[in-house]
Amino acid sequence: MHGDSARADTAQPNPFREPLPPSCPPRTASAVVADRVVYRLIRATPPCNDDFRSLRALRPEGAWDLDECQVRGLSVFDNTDAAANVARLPRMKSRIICRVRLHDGAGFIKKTSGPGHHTWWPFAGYDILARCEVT
Amino acid sequence: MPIRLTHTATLFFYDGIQVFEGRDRIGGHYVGVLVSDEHEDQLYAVVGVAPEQLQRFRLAEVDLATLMKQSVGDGWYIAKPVVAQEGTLAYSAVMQPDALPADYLPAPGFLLPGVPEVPSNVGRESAARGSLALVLGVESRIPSEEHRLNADTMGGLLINVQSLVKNGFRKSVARAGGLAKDTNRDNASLLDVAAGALPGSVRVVLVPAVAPDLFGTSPVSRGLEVVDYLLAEASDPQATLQRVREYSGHTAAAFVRLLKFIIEKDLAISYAWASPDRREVSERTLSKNEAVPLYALLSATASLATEPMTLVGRLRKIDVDSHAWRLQSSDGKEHSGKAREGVSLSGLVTDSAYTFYCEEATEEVTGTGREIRTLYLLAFTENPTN
Repeated sequence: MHGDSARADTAQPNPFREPLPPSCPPRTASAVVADRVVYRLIRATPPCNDDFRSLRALRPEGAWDLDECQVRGLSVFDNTDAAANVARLPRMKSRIICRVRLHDGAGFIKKTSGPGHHTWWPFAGYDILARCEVT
Repeated sequence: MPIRLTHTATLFFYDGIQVFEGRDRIGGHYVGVLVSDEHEDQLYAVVGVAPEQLQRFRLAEVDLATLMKQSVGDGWYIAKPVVAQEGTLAYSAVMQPDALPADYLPAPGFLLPGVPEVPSNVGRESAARGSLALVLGVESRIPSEEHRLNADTMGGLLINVQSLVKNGFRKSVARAGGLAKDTNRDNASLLDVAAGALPGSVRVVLVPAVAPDLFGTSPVSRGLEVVDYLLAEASDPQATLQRVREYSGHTAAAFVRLLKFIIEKDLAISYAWASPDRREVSERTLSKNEAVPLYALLSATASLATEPMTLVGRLRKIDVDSHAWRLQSSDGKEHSGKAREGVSLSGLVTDSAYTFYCEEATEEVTGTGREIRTLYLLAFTENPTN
């Protein structure tokens, strides 16, 4: 229904920004087809690619009791209040809220981990930095 | 000498575990916040917390900065995550001699969403039973070491959840159009409590009342998929309204009743469910803060919670004074109801043939889970050819 052929499959080239485990994104994730806006915290202006690297990409050897598919996605929020709340945490205090425009071809997204939080698995060809505006 | 903390809950996730809840070997409660992830190890600042304060923090009544300042008097720790032998997450925590650095504290105002953590390990519950398993978590305003919940509140919540799943299943079947004659349809959507209150939390495990087929498939899945769909954008009332419109009628009514119950009882819920025939675990949360605007919008939306019904048959009885009527439809079934305010029954003739345009509304008998359905006549036409 949502382009299952795009999901990670060892027999096909990986269309996603990062390598994903089999059956990731999950079937319950949706392909981004309609325009929408999400919010992510970045380290500085202008944004750079490091601001859009997953926990697994940043810590390849990390060991957690977490879903590997989610660890390879990007945390985003669907509202600025939630993003502003995160920016109060010790590791996030210096970060800036970036408004990211998503449209058809942005990848897959799924509601996860509490109100307003989503996990986004972007496609490799989606120009995130051009669509990230500091609020 | 480091102490070992068992990770008991991820309280806040953003690109990893930002805030966690843990317990030590003798059951003491701790809260940790990520303060460093620049080098090889992720480091957390951890404080021991009193259960009542932890509950207030989980319910978003106190912010993290206040919680930490209140708790740091008994000392604080730097903790590193480790993976325990059994594969679960734990932390090695070392007490620090110096005062907690200011930059290790969050800024004032960081609050949790106020909903319980989505239950984990539901996949194991499902696999162990070879059946669909739904784990329902509840957060209430009763601070307690034992995670207690008023019995009537839990009973009422289970009734509302069951009603929503049941009506979602029926609507899903009706939309598919292929299973109308499934004689197990009504029973197939009911859930049984398999494990009441898992240790350490107010969580219950629900399983289908009817055994799954040989592949572990349960019709309850269809009902839960509807619930997943309705709650997918719970923080956006307008988006949720559009989803609920697709399930207008009894399903929408059950959804609105659940929202009302959550608000009245001051609850927050989370759930996760898994089934042997599905690879992924579905999970959702709903806070009171989300329920309030949702309920306000949905309960004010006309015709959302009623099912349209058209009946063709012979009028058997009318009572103009009480606005009541009874009609026998062409399939031999008897239907009774009332006229909506403003609709007059005068002029109707018993034993004559009519088409009745009605809407069916449901109400729940409080505390029983039993639904009462009432037909309301909106308009009618006479059928002279019958």
